[in-house]
Amino acid sequence: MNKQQFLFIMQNHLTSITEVERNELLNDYESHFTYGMQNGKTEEQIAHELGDPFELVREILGDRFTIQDPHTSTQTTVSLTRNIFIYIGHFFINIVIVPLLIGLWSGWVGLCAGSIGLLLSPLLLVPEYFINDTFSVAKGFAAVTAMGFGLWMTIAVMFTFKGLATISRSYLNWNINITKGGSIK
Amino acid sequence: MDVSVQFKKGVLELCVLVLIQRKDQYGYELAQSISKHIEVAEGALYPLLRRLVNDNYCTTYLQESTEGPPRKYYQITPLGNSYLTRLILEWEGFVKDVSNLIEEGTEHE
Repeated sequence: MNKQQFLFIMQNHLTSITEVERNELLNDYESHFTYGMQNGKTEEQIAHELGDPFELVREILGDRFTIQDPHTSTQTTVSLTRNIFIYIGHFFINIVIVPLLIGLWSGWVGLCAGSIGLLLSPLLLVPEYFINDTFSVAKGFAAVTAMGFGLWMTIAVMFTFKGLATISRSYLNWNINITKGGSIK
Repeated sequence: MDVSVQFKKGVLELCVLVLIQRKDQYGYELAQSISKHIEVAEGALYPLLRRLVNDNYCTTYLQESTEGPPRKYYQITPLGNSYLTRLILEWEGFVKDVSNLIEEGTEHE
């Protein structure tokens, strides 16, 4: 890395400090290069001695954040490129998971309908009695049995509802977390 | 390696103050003086020096030089002097404590 590159990186990344401060620091580094070269060093040598410019920027800005507002330091480091990749990846994950969740919920609705149907099956004997004027004891027993199955299924419906709700809720929270720029857990 | 980098960062402030207490120095000179003793990323000096100036531990003045740009010299203030005395005391106590702790550990083994 030569002097130009070093100063370029510093200049471009020290954006959140005041112009006066930035210029002062850049001047310091520039003079450092000048003095070093007077002492017979190459630009590369001096840049190497100064250290990694990105690391320096991080240190300088790190000081800044703790002085101004200790709470902002975790939020401000999310870069644009990182966000773009997160959104792209996110999009594909959603393409798979959202239909899957919809499918699961549809299955649950079906289960609901089935259990309601079974639970209400004895009621069907009432219209049959009025329309056909007959009452079949066998059908009556069948209806009661069906109702028993219906009760069982209601338990299943309740359990699956809890499970699905938990899955959906955590997925939603994860989504919100990602979109807000939080870390991937 | 990483551990010693953290060590050095911590004592850099102390080293800088000791050096400019001896005599006023400009940035590059200071970097050379420190590099003579410990290997450190010299670039970290400048933000540190800025902070020392902001905290009134030292002041700066410009001096023309026959070769190259004018040099920004750093000079310790009375406040910086008393701060340095405190730092050195703390450092010595700290080193002693850590040494004691290490020795105590080896005795028990």
